[in-house]
Amino acid sequence: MYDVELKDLNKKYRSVTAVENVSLDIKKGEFLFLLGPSGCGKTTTLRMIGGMEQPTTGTIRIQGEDVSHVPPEKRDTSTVFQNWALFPHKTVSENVGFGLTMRKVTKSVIKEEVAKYLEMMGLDEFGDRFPNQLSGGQKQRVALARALIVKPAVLLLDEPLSALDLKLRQQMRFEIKRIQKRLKVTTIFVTHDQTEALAMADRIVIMNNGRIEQIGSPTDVYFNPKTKFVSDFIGEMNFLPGKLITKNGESATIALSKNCQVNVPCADTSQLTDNLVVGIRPEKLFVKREPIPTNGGVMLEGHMEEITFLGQLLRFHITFGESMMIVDDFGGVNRALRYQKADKVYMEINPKDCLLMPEHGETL
Amino acid sequence: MKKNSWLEKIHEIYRKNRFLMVFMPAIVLVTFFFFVPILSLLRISFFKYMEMGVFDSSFTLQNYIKFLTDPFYLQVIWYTVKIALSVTLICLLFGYPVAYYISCMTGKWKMFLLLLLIIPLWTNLIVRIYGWFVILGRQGLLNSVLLSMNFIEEPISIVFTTTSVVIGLLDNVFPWILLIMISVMEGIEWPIIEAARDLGASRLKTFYEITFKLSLPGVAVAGLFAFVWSVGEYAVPSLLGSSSQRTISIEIADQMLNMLNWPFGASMAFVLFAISVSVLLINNWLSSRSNIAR
Repeated sequence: MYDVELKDLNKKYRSVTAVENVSLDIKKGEFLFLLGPSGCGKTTTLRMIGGMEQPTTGTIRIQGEDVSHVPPEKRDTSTVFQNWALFPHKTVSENVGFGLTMRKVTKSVIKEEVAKYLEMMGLDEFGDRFPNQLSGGQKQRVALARALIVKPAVLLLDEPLSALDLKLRQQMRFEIKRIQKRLKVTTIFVTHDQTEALAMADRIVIMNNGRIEQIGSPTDVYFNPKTKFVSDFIGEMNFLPGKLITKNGESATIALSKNCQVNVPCADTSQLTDNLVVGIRPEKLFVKREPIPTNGGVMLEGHMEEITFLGQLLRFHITFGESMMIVDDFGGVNRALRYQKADKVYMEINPKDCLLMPEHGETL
Repeated sequence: MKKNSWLEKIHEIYRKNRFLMVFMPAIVLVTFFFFVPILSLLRISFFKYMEMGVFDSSFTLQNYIKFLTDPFYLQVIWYTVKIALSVTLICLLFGYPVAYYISCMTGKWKMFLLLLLIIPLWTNLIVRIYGWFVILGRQGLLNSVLLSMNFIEEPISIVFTTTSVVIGLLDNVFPWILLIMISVMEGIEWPIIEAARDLGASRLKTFYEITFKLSLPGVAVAGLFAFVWSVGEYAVPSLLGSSSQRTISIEIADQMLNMLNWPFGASMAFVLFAISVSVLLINNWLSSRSNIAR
């Protein structure tokens, strides 16, 4: 049973294509993320679901009903806007109760419901205040209560946390997820912040240039990125140019430099081209003094360029041939003392941690 | 060291009274060219008129009593207020939809319309008033058009009537009223309107609940502006108005310049001032009582 079905959704503004052939099914109660850089079409997609924009072509179904050209007030969706868009001339209670007032619910019921939702958001004491008397976090909660009180089939969140500071943002992530799971409301959350998506999502839709690049669970998109764009956008990734030496069944031998070859497992070797890119995550590289592998990996020789202390980890920038590699080391600060700038170091990589991809397009 | 001590002293005074020093020229200017004349005029308004240009400086309320009880002058006050109220009402009623329309526009057309609004304001007031003679006069544009279309049989007189005064005042005030209302309406953020629609309000309901309610403070300011300007305007009623129906400002000028009855003229000026101030206070009171103040 799908709550939201998008089919071949397109949105064009004169000559610019904002959204191109987006098809997507969202299950009831699912917490789905639309993730991508700015201008990738994620917000436009959300606004089309909410009815603030009309699709150029394609259909939108909400709980089975075609709403492609239904105005927002007649859709069973509620939106939390980027800067919350609270009504400045109405109190918190009036803001939260607005949706019910518009649905002609009796005053006593509205009062009860508003009290209930204010309590749920921890805003009991703020009912009589005006939005300009609230902090960012409180405004955020009011916007959420205002959207949830009408019990929408689909809750839409348009970068709701981007205006908050880091600590508050992390706290609100946790809270929104908790409320979403409790109310079991189908939710679509738009963000450009990949950590937000990884931390909160049931499923992530990664968009780029108006198109969907990949749909999958957080672990799926992190560990099995389907395109070079996804592997770069989710987490961090080192890209090394490589040359195909031989294909041997379920794996391929790739030369990373004159005297360094890796045998990378690959399900479909038929599509490999001569020039390839090998992707490897910074935490999958291990820095050593000696060229002796300890985990059955391959050693890459490089030079220490920079050592950065980032709290729970150390980040090494190491030159390897023409490439600058990022290596994350969680082994503790003491390790920093063992290395110095311009030192000759070795990085151990395990072939099964490597991703093969052509220079452009999809990973293999 | 000693040489510079007086310089340092000045600097010290400046540092300690920076606020006062910065505003000193303005304070001096306003004191001597505004407060002193106004206060001396206030004093004169309580003088007794003896004969042309001669006043007795003993205190009397006679001037005020005469102005506020004599049926002739009461009629003048009522006529003035009536004209100002009509101008205000017309401005708000006709200005609101226009302002809303312009505020919703974007790009070239909006710039063009705003320019159309502003250009007449660069023209001298007197020139614009004489322009109305050309349009409204017996042989004017309006009459010849109406005659040629057989709407009327003989020219109608519009100049030197209440109508021509209201038209002249509107010409003056309307662009400003529009600019005030446009700027207030532009301050209403689009996402707020979207949020209302999203929560189930129809277009009409959204307009009433959001746009209209949020624009009320601006409407109040615009209305106040229109009233205060119209009630005190002198050039328009004196040039475009009838000689039998006079406004307070014309009476003031007449008493001051022709009769040389300064005490009476001054008292009328302060009554006019009081009318404007009371409208301002009523406006403030109304808006502080409702949410629209926020």
